[in-house]
Amino acid sequence: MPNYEPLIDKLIAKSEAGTLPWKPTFDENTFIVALEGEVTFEVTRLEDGGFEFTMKDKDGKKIIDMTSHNVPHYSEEYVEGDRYYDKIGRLFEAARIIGLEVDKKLNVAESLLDKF
Amino acid sequence: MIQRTLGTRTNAQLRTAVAPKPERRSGQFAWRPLYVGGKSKVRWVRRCAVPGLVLMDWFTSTGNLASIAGLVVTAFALYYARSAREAAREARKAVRKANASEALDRIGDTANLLQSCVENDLQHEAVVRARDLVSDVSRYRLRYDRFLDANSKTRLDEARGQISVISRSLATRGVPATAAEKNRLLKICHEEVVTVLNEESARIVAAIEKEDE
Repeated sequence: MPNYEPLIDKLIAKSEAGTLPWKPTFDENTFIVALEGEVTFEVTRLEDGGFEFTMKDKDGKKIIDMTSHNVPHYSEEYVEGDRYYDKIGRLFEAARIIGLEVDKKLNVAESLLDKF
Repeated sequence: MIQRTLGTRTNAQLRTAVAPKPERRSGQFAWRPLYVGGKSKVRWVRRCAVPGLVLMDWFTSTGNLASIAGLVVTAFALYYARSAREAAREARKAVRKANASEALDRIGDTANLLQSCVENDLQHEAVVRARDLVSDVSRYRLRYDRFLDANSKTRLDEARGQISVISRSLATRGVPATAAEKNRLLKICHEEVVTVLNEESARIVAAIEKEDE
């Protein structure tokens, strides 16, 4: 498996800085972002607590298709994608914050609470 | 002019100018030098040569006129050939534009169909339409790539991503059971898929029309 770490690190940095326009989808646990019509990233939180991370090219072909679970590396169930579990978790959270405009809504909620 | 020239020439000049070279040939019609016959032969040659030269003039003039007529005909032929080529090019452009409009209208129709399938709880039909839409968007994205700017490409990619998620969700969980979920699905279908695809289709058609101008 190629080393996806630099790409994921960059995605996390940009997402936490709020510069990537992540968007919510019909699935509440899936967020997508398309960049300049060249690549599309998709991050999903699975029902079993794991994460799925996908990168597609402009033709819609999957360049990265990774599933990550919180499995210790000494476990027999451990797969290569699991080493990115923490990072994809962070990415999902950053995408969720941007996609659902969490900061903005928290400010609105605080403003409303101030009125009471 | 030829007549005048002949008239002013001396016999000696005419001998050298008109008389053919002596030729030794057997038979009745063998050429002989004209000066052999003396002054009367020269007069005879003058009488024959002058109408012959007038005839030559006439042929030359006719030839010139025919050349000019040929040139005019060629010019007309070229003009009409160019007009025909332009007409063919225009027809080709019109067909291409009509094809593009039809193809892009079909995307909009499929998107509307997907939305109505969800509205009417037609799960299998909706899944098929969603898959059709994903492949249609991919195909048209490639086909009309040169008419799309980065923003349009991004919007189409996002729409394709949204349809993909909807398709997966419909295939695994079926049509949403609760009204709230269904509303959310219809809202995403309308705002992120139908509207985007219709807008981008219209933009592509406008770009094709602009290119034709």
